[in-house]
Amino acid sequence: MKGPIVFAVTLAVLLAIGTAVWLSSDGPDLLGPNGSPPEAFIADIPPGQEVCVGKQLIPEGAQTAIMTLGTYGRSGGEIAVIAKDANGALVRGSAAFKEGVVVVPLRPSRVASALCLKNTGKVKIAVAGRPAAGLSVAFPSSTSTTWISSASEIAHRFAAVRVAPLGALTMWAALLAAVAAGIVGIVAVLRSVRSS
Amino acid sequence: MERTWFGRWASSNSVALLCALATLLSAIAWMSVTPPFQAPDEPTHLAYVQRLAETGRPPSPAETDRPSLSSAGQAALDATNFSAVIGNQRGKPPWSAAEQLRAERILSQDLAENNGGGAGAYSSYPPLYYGLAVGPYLVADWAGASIIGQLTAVRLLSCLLTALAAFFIFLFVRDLLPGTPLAAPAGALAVGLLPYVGFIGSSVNNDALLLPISACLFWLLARSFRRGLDSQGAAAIGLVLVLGWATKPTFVGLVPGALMALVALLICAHRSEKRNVLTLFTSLVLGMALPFALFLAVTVGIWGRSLRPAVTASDVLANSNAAAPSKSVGGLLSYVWQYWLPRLPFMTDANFGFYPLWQTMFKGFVGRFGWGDYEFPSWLYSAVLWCWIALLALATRALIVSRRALRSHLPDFLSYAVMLGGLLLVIGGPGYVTHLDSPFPFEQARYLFPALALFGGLVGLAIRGAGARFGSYVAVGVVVGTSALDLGGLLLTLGRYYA
Repeated sequence: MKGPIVFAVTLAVLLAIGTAVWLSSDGPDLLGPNGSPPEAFIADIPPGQEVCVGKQLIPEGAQTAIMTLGTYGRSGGEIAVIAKDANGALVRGSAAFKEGVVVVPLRPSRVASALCLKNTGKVKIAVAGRPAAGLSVAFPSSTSTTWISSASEIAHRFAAVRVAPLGALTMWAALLAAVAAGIVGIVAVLRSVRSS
Repeated sequence: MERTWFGRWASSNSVALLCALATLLSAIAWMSVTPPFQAPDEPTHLAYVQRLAETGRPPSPAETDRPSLSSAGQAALDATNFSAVIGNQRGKPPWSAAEQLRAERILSQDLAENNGGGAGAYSSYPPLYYGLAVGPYLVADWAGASIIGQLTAVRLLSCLLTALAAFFIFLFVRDLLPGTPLAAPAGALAVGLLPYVGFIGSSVNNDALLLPISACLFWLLARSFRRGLDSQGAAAIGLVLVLGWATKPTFVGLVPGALMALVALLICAHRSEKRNVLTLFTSLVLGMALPFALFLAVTVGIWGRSLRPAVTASDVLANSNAAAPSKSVGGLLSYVWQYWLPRLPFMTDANFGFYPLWQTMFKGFVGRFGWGDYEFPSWLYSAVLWCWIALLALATRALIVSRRALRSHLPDFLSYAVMLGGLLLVIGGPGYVTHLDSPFPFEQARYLFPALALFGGLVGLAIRGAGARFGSYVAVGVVVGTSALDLGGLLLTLGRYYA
């Protein structure tokens, strides 16, 4: 009986250490996306023109926006990101870029309700997204994080739009239930060891 | 003080109850972590429940003009960013305060809940699971919950059913391997703590009911093979056959093997001359006839539903797509063979484009979550494969060591093999049609749920193969390993949706 208990505890400790190491590694870096993946180039913006993404909510603290842009193989792409609310422009940012994944710095960081992309260069720009869902824009975190340091933020996000009787603690309760499941399982096996 | 009947029963089944409790806790964790509607087909399954609860009638295949989802159901999908999240790693459920406000505004609208549940809402599925789900749905409705709360209440029912399945799998393995007490908890927990079982078993899906019903059938057969078929056992088997049929058409795959087992059991009873075969047969028929009559009275008599299966063999072989290659029984058998085993020289290549046993079934069974859009890192599947190969080797050792005793168990094992084969054939039918007519694969690992008891039995056999000295270590390893996989799946899910 003693052997299996020691074995179970040893395995559990090793797994706990492994999990702790993993949770200390680089964690989430996204403050929020607009939901669309950059699956294909779905819109063109001619020089001087502007395209807007409806219902865009820029998360608080966003200092950059990421999108996938093309220039049909030409150099000289320039884009401005302008976030707006009913009173006008709130956030501005611009960048010259080579086609691919483009990071545009934003300032000042504010929550807005609409986001527009303006072609400020001389070449046509193609913007990636999902045809049915729209252009793809993501807002990364400005600081590097680990899973452990982000846990509280994730727990708050988790509690939104679901049955969360304990609020942000609901996520922790769910994980605790999973750990308890494992412990109860081990107890069941050890009881059988004792009876066999 | 004398203990009550329940006290004695609970005491003699305490380990089985612990296994069910562990499974319930795991399923509740999955129920809590999976965002609303982010389990396969959950919106449509809930639409079936909602239709039944709100109108007293299940969806009908004839109602092609009626939408699948009600106005409230459609709004709930909008509130949870459903279309942007599925199949899109960058798509996240609402998590900011502004998004929460928007979702609350949508969910608080007084929208119709009784105008959905048309033909597209799995109208061809039998109503048993959905009928049970009406209870928690209405309780949540009565408590003033939104559709998200109603979904959670029905998910809780699924969790309880999954825990019940672990209980039955424990009993099955205990009767299958009575000389190895450790086999039953290890087998039950290897299923109950599997992350994919927690994920699907905690969602709104009729697979959650099919799982305990199938496990119960396997247990009743194993019990009868071990102790002999008695009247209660025969009646219970008859009842379970009807319940399975009233839950999901896939269950039909188990029936030929179960009937074969019943014939073997009746022959065995006849030979032993201790039991009256006619009495046993009558119990079986009564066990089937009474619930079947009730089922007919409700579905055909009251609701006017057809008893014709949604998909028949002729439907499978009919050519719905003129451009697709023609279908045949030989083609179907070849397809099913190649799905699971290497192609034989005389077979036409099914051209899967990938190895379905690994890609769809193994990886899916170990863990593929959401709408099939995220999974564990590749190295983990390889690690689990090696662990399972080791368990398979131990199970093989157990069979070799016990080969003499096996001869007397030939009818049992043959029946289980036919049940598994029947299931694979039933899954393969629509898979074959879909494979020829469209580029999208049909099969998912959850379609194997009716045979999960056999997986538990295989793990139990491995514990036996490990011998008295190492069996306990293998059992502990199986439970800790599966539990770690379970926790890993939950963390992966949190990362997928909230990071």
